[in-house]
Amino acid sequence: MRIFNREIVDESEPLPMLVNKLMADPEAKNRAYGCNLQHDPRVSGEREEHFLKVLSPASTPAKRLENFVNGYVQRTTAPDFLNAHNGENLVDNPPDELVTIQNINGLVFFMSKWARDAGIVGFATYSLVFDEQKVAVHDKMQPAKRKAFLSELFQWHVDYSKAVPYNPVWLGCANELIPCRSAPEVERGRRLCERVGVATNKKDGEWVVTLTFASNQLKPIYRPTCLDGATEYHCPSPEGAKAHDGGIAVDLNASDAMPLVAREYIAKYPELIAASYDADHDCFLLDGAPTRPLPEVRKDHLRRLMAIFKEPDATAWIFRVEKSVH
Amino acid sequence: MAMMSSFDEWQAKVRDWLKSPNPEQSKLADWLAGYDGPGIDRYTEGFTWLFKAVQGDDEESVLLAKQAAIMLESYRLGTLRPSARLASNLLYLCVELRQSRLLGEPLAQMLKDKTVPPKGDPEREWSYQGASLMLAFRGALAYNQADAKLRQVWIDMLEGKPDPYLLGTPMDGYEGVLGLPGKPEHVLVAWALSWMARFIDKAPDRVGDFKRLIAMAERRFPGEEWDWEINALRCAWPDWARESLDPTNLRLTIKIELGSAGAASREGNLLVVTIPRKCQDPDRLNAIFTQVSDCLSENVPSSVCQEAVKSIAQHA
Repeated sequence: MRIFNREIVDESEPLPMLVNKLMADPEAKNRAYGCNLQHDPRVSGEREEHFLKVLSPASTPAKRLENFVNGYVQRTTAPDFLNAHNGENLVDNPPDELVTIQNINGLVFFMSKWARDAGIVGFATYSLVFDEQKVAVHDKMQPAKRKAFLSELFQWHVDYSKAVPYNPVWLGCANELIPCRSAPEVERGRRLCERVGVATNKKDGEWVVTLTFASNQLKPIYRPTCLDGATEYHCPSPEGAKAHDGGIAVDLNASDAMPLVAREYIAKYPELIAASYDADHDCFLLDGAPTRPLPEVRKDHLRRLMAIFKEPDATAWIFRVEKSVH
Repeated sequence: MAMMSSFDEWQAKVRDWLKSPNPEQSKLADWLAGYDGPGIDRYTEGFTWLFKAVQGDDEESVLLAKQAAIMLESYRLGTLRPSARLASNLLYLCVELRQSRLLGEPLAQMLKDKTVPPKGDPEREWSYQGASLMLAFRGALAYNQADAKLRQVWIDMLEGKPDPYLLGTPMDGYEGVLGLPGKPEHVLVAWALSWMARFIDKAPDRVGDFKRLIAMAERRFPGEEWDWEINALRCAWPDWARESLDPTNLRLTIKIELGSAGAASREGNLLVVTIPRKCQDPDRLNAIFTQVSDCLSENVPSSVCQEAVKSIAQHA
């Protein structure tokens, strides 16, 4: 058995036991977590040690992972990936510009509640009812209001993110998202999200915006590992891949034969106000169409990796992952 | 056959749980605390997914509300000590479900027992993701009112007088007024909008926000015939709010010499009246005059009232 791509002998240790439980789970997403923990070659021995030390007791392995990501990555001002034990994933020479896809409804959902409590008048009329909020965001995202709305939202986000930290931001390269921009208009937002491994099922009527940052606004930038998101739509990049190239995002709808794969990086959540975007051309409405079943998506992803990574180490790694998936 | 999406699979699991003879509360607690969701994203809260799983199905909504009611009761009795995330999600699930018949009583008991920690409680977790649990509790109360006991509490919030325990902003008051049971009280809703207009007076998109508040009331009571123009006059909406109803309305500024006794002019001694386009209909015009007269008579002597109505008639 392997844990973090290292052979282990004693399967009665806590981490192998946790992984075995995940791999035996009837749910595909839990098996995907287990698979990532087994094969992610990006988690150093020191990080593994730290992870084990802080892993809280919980009734299921999936909950333990969730608790780690919530407590040590997402909802903290000092996310775990910034520590020295993750140094091998530091990207020294990232692409000049990186793009993130921000869900505006998600942002308003949390910020509007904070704003009502804080007495911020501009945001104090959002209803607590989700569908009413959706109507409100849709109204604010109409062309005549959009620019002012986003500008105000991102301005207030500076204060909000100080009160409520959230990490990391997942980033891609703008040129690798270009093919999605030529999708039919109704699908465009969803395709952009799917391209970088973000499912949007049941998100119809919600808005996303692509935000571009200069990489020096985001530094330090890291290649993601399976400990940085606990999402089944993440798959580590193969053994031997260079940190500079980041991870490879799992395209959730790769059947349309996109010519390029999309790289992915993570960084501490930036101030959104520092982003550049074109309110007329970088905002997209989601159609909420379902995502393909996870096992299919992951199988397709491995096939694509196979086509890109030809080195023996990488190929052997992909075979191992494929085998453990089955 | 089309394959099931991750949401469909998860929804089927929720439905099976709801229809099982004794649904385990621990499962609901897990979902609300953010565990074991449909695996679509990492930021959507558990209550949102749960609500989406039953949305549009009355029977399942009732079943879920029954489970939520049991959990509220455990929370009140102290047999459940929820994390802030779980408490927040449970209360927002009540907001979405709007099942006053099932949720009204347990929530009212929680209010009586002050179960939810007040804002700033030094001993208990009182906020989640930057927002107080009390905000979620106000919402749960507002959208699940089995009676009108909190009517005055909402009105006070609208007027900027928060409840000592619940606190509350004008927007909480507005949602509370809209959540009152039974047929809507048109004048109360219009008064609530009048207070909201004052509250958002400095907001960058006040007209858009105000129109949305009106639309909220219309969606809350589908099929209800609202006469916003008349109620806007009666409840003294600010000019910009009245004009937001229909920008082509005719705005008249009438100079009335208000007496000193009890005079409450709208803009110094000018009375500004917006006449709706529809006023070409004589019946409606008469109705408006009556409403203006009623409105003025609350504050000014009857002679001034008569004068105002006469002036409006001349202008119209």
